[in-house]
Amino acid sequence: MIKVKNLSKSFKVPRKEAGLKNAFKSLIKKEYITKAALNNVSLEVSRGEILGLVGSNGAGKTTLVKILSGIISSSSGSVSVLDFDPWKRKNAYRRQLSLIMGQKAQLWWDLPAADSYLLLKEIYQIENKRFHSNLDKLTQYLGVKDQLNVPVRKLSLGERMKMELVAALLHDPQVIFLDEPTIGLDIISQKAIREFLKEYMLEHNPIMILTSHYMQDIEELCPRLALMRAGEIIYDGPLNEIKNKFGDIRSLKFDIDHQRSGLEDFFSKRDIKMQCTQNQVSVKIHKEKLTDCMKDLLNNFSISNIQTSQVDIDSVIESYLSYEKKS
Amino acid sequence: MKKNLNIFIHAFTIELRKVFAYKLEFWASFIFSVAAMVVVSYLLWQSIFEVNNVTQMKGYDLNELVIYYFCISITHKILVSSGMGIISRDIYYGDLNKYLLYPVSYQIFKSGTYFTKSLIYLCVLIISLLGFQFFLSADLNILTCLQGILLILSSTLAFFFLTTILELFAFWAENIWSLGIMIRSIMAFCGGWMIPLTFFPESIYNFIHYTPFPYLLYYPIQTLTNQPCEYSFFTLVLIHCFWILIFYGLQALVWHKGKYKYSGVGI
Repeated sequence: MIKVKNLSKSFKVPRKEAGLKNAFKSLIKKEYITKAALNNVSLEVSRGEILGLVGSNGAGKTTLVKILSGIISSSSGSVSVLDFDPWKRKNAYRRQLSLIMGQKAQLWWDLPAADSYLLLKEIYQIENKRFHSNLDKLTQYLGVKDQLNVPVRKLSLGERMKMELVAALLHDPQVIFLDEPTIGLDIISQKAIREFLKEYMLEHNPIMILTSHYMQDIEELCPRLALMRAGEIIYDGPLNEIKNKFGDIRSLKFDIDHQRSGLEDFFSKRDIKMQCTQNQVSVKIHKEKLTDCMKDLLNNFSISNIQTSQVDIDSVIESYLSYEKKS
Repeated sequence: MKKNLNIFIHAFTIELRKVFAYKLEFWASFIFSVAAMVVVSYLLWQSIFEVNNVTQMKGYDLNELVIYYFCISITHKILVSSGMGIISRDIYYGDLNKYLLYPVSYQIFKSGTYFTKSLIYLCVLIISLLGFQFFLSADLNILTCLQGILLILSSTLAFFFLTTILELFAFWAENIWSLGIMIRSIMAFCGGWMIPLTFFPESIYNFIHYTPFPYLLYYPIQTLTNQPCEYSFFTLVLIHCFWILIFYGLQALVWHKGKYKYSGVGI
């Protein structure tokens, strides 16, 4: 189980003013500012649970993952993962841990993945039988068995990510941190990885924390969501709850040839944000106001191709973040 | 212990496979550069002897000086191995993250990487010594050669810890390249890489002996090439142990302090 209580982390960041004079001054005395990356974060994740960690860049997601995996220390608060203090970096803890970083390769670039796996076998002290059975199972499932002896630098991005997943799961970790595992991948590879993670979860039941900017990853994999903003968790609960709360929002799209300025006034009076691309206009609007708004629009403007739909998960989260900001 | 040794060997062989993956780089750095070093040192010292019209300088004849200069240059390459950056790059670019997650010591892993190029250069040195024995009629001795090789290996270990200390300053400083250049220049001067230590005035010669560098570079070469040496093999082993312990302790201290500064950039 992961238990985080009142966790805070701040970094000292050097501050450099522009200009030659200040560059010279910084040679003598450097100024630092303290930046809070996490502020009083509390969280619990149980075995068999996948937590989706979502927030904009700089929200503190990665800092939290780094602390949980023992890469960096916390400034205050307490952290316990499987009853270990991650910062102590006990080997018994590290043997049960895995961190998959979509933006950072862990395999040795110049060598075939098979060589890296042999090294990992030694690092994690995996017995021969277990190593070969895991390797067979993982490579077969991800469809990369034939690429095992190709140097990593010659693999496609999707194949490389799959190899990274194999490397991260060879030792049957009990705690898995996934940081943007599908970043930069095509739709088919993204889907394959999501399917694989679902299967893996069912079979092994580990604790998993997933950070991703692809909402499809979150929607398909994470029944529970933690939303972060400015180092704080502003929502922690079922994904469905947040979807229901903001699920009354509808997306309205239509085409318009002229009168665009009048349209801006029309929506701003109703406190609705409008987006335009060439002739198409799209707005997000509460379902109770939808009928009246459409009536007024048709009476006052010459519009065509009207479409309404439920908003996607990105918009739901965006709505939640802006709603929290306002309140 | 057995696990650490296995990790060392695996890290060593992985690095070896990386070296072999780039053929041109391998031949250029390990063979052609060494051949060029022999030719250049021979031509340089030959002209110095001719201009001064002497057959001996400070107890060295031309062949002995060429052998000395060649051996010390190769040994310098053995000691500095892959150059600066194997640890500081990990810190600057966040590659340290993956090593921190592994249930093994980062230093053992990196020492395996460090020793790879050192051992390739050591093989080149041993093959070259055989060549000197045949072609330059060098006065080599199997026992002193073995002692010299052992001393070079322990010097490499000491230098690995010294390099680690400097590289770990990357936790605080934004660029530590100049520190590496500085220490290597000091070693080139105090270790006798530029000119043999006996060529220095007595005051400088005495001062240099307060630094670790003559013991790490100059005396192992004197032993290897069977030249007169002020210290016995066992005294040099003891001095090496002393410096290895000092450097090991310091790098452990710097690592302990530095890990709190690490921000794990790159993810």
